[in-house]
Amino acid sequence: MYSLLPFQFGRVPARNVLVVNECGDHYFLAEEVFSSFIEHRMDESSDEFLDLKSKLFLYQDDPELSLQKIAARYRTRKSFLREFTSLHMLVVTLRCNQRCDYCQASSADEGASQFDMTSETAFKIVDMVFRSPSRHPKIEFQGGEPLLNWTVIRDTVKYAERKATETGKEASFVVCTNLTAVTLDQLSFLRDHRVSISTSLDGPQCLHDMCRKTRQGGATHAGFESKLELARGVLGNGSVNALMTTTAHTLGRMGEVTDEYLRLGMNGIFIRSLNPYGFAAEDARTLGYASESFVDCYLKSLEYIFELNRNVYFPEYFASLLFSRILTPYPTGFVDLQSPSGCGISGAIYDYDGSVFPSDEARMLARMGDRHFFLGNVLNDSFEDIFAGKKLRALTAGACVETTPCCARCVYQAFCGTDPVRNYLETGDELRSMECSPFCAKHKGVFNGLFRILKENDPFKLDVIWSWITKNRFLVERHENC
Amino acid sequence: MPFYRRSGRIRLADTLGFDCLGYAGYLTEGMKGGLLHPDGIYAASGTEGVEEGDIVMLTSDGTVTVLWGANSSQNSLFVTKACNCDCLMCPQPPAIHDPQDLVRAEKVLDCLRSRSVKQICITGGEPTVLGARFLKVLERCSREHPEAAVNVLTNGKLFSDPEFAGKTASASNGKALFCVSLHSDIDTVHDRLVGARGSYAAAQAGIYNLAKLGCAVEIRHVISKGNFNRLKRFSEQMYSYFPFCAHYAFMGMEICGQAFKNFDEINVSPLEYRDCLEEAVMSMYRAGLPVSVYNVPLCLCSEKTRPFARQSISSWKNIFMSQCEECSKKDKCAGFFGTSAFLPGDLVRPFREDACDDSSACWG
Repeated sequence: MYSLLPFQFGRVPARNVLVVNECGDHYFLAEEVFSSFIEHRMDESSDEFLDLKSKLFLYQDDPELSLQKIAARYRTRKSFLREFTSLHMLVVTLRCNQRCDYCQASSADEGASQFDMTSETAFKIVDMVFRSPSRHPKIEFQGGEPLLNWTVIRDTVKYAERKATETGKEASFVVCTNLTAVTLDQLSFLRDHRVSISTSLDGPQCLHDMCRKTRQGGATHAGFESKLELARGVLGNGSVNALMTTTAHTLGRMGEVTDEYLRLGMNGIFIRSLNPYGFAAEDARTLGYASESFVDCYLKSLEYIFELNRNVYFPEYFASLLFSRILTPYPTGFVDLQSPSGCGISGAIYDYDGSVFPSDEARMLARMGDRHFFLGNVLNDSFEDIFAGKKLRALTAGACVETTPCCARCVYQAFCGTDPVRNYLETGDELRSMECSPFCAKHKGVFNGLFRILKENDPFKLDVIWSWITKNRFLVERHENC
Repeated sequence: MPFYRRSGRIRLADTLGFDCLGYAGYLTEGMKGGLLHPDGIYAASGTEGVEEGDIVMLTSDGTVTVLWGANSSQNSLFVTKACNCDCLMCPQPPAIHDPQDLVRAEKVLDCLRSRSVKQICITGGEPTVLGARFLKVLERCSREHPEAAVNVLTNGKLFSDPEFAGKTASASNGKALFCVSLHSDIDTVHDRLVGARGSYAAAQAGIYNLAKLGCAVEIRHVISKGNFNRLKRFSEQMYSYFPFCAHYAFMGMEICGQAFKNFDEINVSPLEYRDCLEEAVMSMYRAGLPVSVYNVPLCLCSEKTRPFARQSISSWKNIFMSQCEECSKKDKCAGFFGTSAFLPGDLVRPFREDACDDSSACWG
């Protein structure tokens, strides 16, 4: 006699049933074994039965301990909620020295200083950042090109350092820059104040220059590469990370992109799909692609990166994050994919004029004339108004996969997340049925691929995966050159 | 030794003279000296087992028991023979509580007062069955020896009572390591091995209670015929539900006491569980958990498991086989329990310096 505990299931790969419970534990069953399991006629002495019992898919006798263990796991899995709100993005200027194809709507001309954040506004934001319960606030300077408003960055970092000392919190800083305009003085300051650099690299010269252009339409890769070297010389190798954006141009050429990341000495790569906002419709046609194409390209790239790892430790960060959710009991904060959605409660973005939005997409939407997600302004509104107000509460309450149509029964529910801003953008509603949505197609496709890899049970790949999760390069035996 | 401090001491001497007056007892290779030397052991054949600073017990039948070795790092306070389990593999069969055990342990603590002690292990039986008396011993250890690493060997069951766990946490003052035995990821298997239904549930609830109170927990898993085929699943369960533990130990069996009595039911050759153990150890290592293997000789571990195998057997019961003399890894090896009634001597393969490790200890 046994009873079932709550779980989701799906057929991955075909003829195999993947079951995932509330703890995020998973198990593969052959179709006929799955049937016997749910029909309560499973052989109770079989290994599979004991495995399902061990992993809390069923219980015998008293459910008390099982429920206690599930509760402990669930609590841990959702414990990222305690770090409310940890990521604070400051758009210190809308001005940019570049005009990249996928980012036209959000940047202003280099001379348009009316789009600069003032120090007064920046300090008000810092005050608000330190009102958040988070013990480890992260302040990220964005733009436009944030370095164009350097004095405000410099003063804000110093001010925030003082606030951190006063409040006993541990603040960290990131500046998101294309690097092309960075000076030696600025780099020295960033080094002295332990500000790390997040930059953009789309691939080798030809691919990078295809979308990432100066305002006059010129190439940027060469300038980027020399400044990257300069920055590394000052800050050390580990302090400069890069993000890439996959466009239709790069989709079939991810191998070249990865090789360029390796050539430039990057620690790993985050293969990121294009954000479908902020650029004109004609660009959408040339740059965009279907989620299915991205998934296909992503999974192929992942195989390529697994092979690379025979010789060098080189993680793909998106897979690393998702595998970490699947294989470890620990929470993984990732603003873009969590439940409840990270909008506002994990990350918030402050526009140059002090307006607060739950995500960058929400801010872009406001730039396009729809202020639906506007939470308030640091110059007029209190922390309570903005972060504990009705608007953010309602937004968060409605943005849970557990209550979203389709997601509620999805086998990947425990690992996935939702984005109410994107839902609103696509349908006019924060909550929608995710069936056939591009967001779902992308994530479901990626999860299908990752679980196929787990089902393969290839010891080499598992070693690589765990080396990424635990950042322990020594888990993989390799003949490393570097 | 000033005269006023002699009454609590035992004198170790070659022969007895006037400088030996006033001690609680004597241990000598010489003969009884006269009326002034009432209690003691005389004409002992060799006293090299005893060192300055040891705490020893003399009994009238002539037995000398070292209760605390001054230079040993494997000292323990044996507080009771009583236990609320009846493990098939217990080397120390449970018995009714003898109050003398606790008295003796407390006397050892009296003697240790104001001495610097590196390590104290509280063991039994099951120490927690003494309730408040256990708490008193634990409290004394942590208060009188703040510098010592205090280990409590326990089946963890009684900590399922949050109140008792709370009292234990305050008695330990956040210092003790609770070494909890857990022998399977499946309740029925664990309960059968420990001979008491409900033990699995109670032990796991106990671990959660201790952890909630900030107590450090070590998991000890004794490998036997009854559980070795699920070693990897056990590792996975530990990582999934108890990843916060300070240490995870897989332990080879000591074949004495109950383990000898139940030999056929529980004995398993280290070679038979070698692959399962490797999977279990590697699964923990991969996930970043601190894992060790105790009591398994290096030549009976797989190559991947060897780096995790520790020299773990108390020196007084640690022995080696005759083949081991030729082995180049002997000084790093756990060896065998001298107390075991059965040793897998025919399986032992010495490592040779000149040969490749794999070939000299290869079991194909």
